[in-house]
Amino acid sequence: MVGCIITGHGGFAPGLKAAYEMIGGDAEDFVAVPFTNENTAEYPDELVAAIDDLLARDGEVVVFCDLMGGQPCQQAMLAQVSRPGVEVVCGANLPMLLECLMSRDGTAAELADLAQEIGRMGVAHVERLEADAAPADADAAFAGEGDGI
Amino acid sequence: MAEPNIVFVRIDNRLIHGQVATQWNNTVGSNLILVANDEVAKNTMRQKLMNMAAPQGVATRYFSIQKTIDVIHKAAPRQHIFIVLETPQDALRLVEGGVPIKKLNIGNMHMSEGKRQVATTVAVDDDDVAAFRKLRELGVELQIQRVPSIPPEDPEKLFR
Repeated sequence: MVGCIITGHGGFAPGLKAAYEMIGGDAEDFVAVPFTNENTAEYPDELVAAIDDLLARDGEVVVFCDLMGGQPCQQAMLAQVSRPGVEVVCGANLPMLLECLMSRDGTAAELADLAQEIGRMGVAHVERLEADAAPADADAAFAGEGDGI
Repeated sequence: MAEPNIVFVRIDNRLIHGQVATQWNNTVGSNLILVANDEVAKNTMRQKLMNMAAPQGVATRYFSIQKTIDVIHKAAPRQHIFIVLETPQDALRLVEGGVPIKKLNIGNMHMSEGKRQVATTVAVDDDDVAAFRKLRELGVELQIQRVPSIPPEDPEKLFR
């Protein structure tokens, strides 16, 4: 299992973790490290401690950051320099976490690639809902086929 | 005729949503989510919204209660069916109509005027209780459990 850390500005990390848990339930080895006005000085050490803790347990870690180039992302990339087995993903979102936290059997690099793919898929300008003129009998096509419903 | 492969039946006000699509579907391993609900069967907008929430690779059907009763026995063995319902009255109609439901999971039944909260996410009125009692008499096992990762609550809470 690859350990996972969510980190970001303000309430982003605990907020996204709580959002994940509402849908996906509790996840093992999934830690939120917030970066706030109150812990700017201690934040680098807190992030490194969380990474090292998960590395010791799982061997590999993916750090999901809110913003490319932001302080959390920068600190994660600095920590990564001396730590093989750590991968960093920016632009973290909920669809990404939902998929990734349930697909942690491969390597950290594979998980980070998956995160990028799913995270992009989750961003969409959705089509406006239109009421169909005549409500289709959506189930008619499936009835009486003799091969399932 | 072979019995339909119904792997899970759940009462949930929100029908298909994140907890159903993600946690329950992973746990029960269905490949077809059947929403049996008279209102939704006629409402293509709600169907489209629920299709957005459904997991990839899982088919969806939106049948009326009567339609479900009429076609369920045509299900193929490869169809592992997860039935989602809004109310215990609908569950009772299905069972009385011959849909083989052995166990009924009770997830979310929202609080509203005239209902009383009997479990963490379950509120009922007398008519709901009567439906649950009848279901139990017909041999349906009742289970109160919101998500798979938290323990079930005592189904007797429904009848107190």
